[in-house]
Amino acid sequence: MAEPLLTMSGISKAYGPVRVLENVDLSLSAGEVRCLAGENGSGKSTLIKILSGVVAADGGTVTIAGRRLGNDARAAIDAGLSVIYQDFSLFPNLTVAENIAFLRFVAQGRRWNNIAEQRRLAGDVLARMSVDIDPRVLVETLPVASKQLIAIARALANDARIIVMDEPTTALTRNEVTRLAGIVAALKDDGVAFLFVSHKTEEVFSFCDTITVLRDGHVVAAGAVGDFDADRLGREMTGRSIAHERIARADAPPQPVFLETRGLTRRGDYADISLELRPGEIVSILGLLGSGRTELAQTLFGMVAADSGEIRIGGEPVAFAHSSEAVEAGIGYVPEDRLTEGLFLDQPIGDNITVASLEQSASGGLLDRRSLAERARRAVERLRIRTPGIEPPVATLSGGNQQRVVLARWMERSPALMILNGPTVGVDIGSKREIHELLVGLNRSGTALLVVTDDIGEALALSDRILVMVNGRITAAFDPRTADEDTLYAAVTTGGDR
Amino acid sequence: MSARRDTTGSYVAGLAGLAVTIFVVLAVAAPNFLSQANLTSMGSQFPEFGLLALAVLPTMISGGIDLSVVAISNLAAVVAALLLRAGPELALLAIPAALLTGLACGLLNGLLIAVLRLPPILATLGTLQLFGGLAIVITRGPAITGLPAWYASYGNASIGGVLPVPLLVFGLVALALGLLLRLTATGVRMRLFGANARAAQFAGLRERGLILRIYGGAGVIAALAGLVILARANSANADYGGSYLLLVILINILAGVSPAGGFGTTLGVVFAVLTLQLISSGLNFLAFDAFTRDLFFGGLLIVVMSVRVLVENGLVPVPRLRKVSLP
Repeated sequence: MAEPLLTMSGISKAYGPVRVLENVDLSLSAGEVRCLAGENGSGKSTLIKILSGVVAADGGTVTIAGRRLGNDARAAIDAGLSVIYQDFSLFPNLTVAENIAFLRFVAQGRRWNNIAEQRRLAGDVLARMSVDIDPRVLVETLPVASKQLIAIARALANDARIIVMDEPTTALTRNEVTRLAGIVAALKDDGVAFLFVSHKTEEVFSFCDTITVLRDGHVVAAGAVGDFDADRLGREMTGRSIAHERIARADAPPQPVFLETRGLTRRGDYADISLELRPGEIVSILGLLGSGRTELAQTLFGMVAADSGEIRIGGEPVAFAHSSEAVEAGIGYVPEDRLTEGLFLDQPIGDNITVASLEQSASGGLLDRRSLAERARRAVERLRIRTPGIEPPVATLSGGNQQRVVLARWMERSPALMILNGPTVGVDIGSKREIHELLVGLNRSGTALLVVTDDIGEALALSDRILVMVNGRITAAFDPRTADEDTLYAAVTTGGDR
Repeated sequence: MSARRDTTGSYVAGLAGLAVTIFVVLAVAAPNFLSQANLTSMGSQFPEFGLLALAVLPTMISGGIDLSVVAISNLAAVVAALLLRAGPELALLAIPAALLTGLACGLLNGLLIAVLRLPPILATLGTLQLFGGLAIVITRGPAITGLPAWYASYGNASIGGVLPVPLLVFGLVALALGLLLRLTATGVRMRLFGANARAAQFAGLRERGLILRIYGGAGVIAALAGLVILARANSANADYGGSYLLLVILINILAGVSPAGGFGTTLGVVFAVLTLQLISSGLNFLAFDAFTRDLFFGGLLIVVMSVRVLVENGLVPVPRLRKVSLP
């Protein structure tokens, strides 16, 4: 290959005593797609921040097309670098054309808004990508996959030659992934280089030419994609062999159904959902973002109303008007977004654990603070939450430990059913396995678990039954003892066109 | 994402230090400051706006605000004054009626916020006008005077000659509110709801009941302030205390209550009230013009907020008080 377009060499960075990156090398040639793989906390995001000039490195150099860049975000953009974050950073209230033209017009220092020229530029870029989206519509009305394409178009409109994408396929159906792969391939031929930041093996292998694996701030492996397979990649990322087979357990004794739904439907979100959950059983609902999985889970927790159909608990029909009624009925819910939905970030760990069970430590209307602290401390011990105490704000904990705090909150109530929406999102692989083992252990005590996820490995490791949800419907059921990843991947991503 | 560090404990200690310092300086600089007449007069001045500040406290901890407290206190005072004047049989009902008025006003705020989901600042801005307008319509403008003498004499009495009744009311309300916030499930839920309303919903908190209780309680405390004012002014005026609203918010900010919700203590409000009262009296004693008061209050607020931000960002080193952990 020719002279690399991008060279990062000897990059080091420390935050105080913590060495985040140590002598990291990475290169990217025109037309190359490289995957930057690593667990949470491996230094991936710091490396991207250094590349984009947001964070200054302590040592090492970044060179794009022979020009050395300092700690200057503007210079990096001018040199043709564009970073697309997971949320795309688009303006939902502006049109497609305005979004696409925005960066370029700002970079050119324009003071006047020329709508006709925006449309022309957007039209040209979208045509180059062979994408058919009306430049006049508002971005907020578009599906996730189109938003991602707009983000790529915005980068191209600003003459990007290196596009960095953070977890690009998280929300895409199989057809959308195929389409993205086609667009990436076409742009590669134009000489655009891509750096995919990811830890998802499927996307690593379907998109990339080369792989760089980061662990604890060091490059532990780099090479052509052909030199890797899923096992090696997992091993390099974690530094050990992480078991991902199904966690062994005794079969739950058959028990009467705790919760069942009949023909549950909510227009635009899910339709005709019938399922049964028994104590001691772990059922996964496997579906992509936007499949209606979250809305269904929230309906069972009383936060979103169904249009028709019924929910029965212990055979009796129930209609939850509020989450508190679901909690009373013995249901706990671990939300998808820990930071905004699951935790009171600035508040003490103890309060985060006991918030749903305060009445257990109250007598005569007054709280027994000693009993609260005692319960919180026991929960910290039982779930092995790594913290010096229960007083610090929960925001000081790592992702895996934060998730344990949310689990602990519901375990204080010994719920009959616990709904977990993405229980290990943003949790690193090692910690993930521990949480899975914890959940299987919890479940032996007779709680039913409903796991909502798009992580096939997670569904296989955890479940007693897997239900596949596509486009608001449950399309298939699998036995995790016999199903394999490929079959599940096909089931989850087919029929997903909208 | 960086956590806001909870510096409330050391902050309140700093505020207490400030109040004590001002007190000592005044005691040394102005010989008459420590006279009983002066202390008693101060003790009967601040409870009225102190109570209003306490009324706003729970609404701010829960991430909202109540702009209508002054209007509620005036409306409650007007209701009480009308009953007091109506004759001895009805006079006994004056206090319960005033408190019920406050409760009703507070619950209306709560309903607007909890059921219609209006932003608290807009809902209570609306009811501020509504309650104020109602009081004006009832009184037709002028203050209601000619109250039976016993009301003012009880209301301004000093128990044992040292403890003014308004101060006693303020102390009891502060104590009750402090216990509520710290030692009841409602208090903890209030704080957590204020810290993250969405997470509170996912934790199964009943936010409607909580909001109704918070604003209903604020209405009752505001009505108590109205009764204290009624005794001190010996009349009920529909637009009394026009400058109190901003003062009351200022007290809460000075007390370290987070405008974003989730943080704030009763003790902080008590010290903030004392600090402002001391400054205000001090300015009188040191023969400053009465008009300089606002200048000092505003300056103090800006300085205190700036110092707090600097300390939280670690730009000013401060010995951290160790939090005493429970046994």
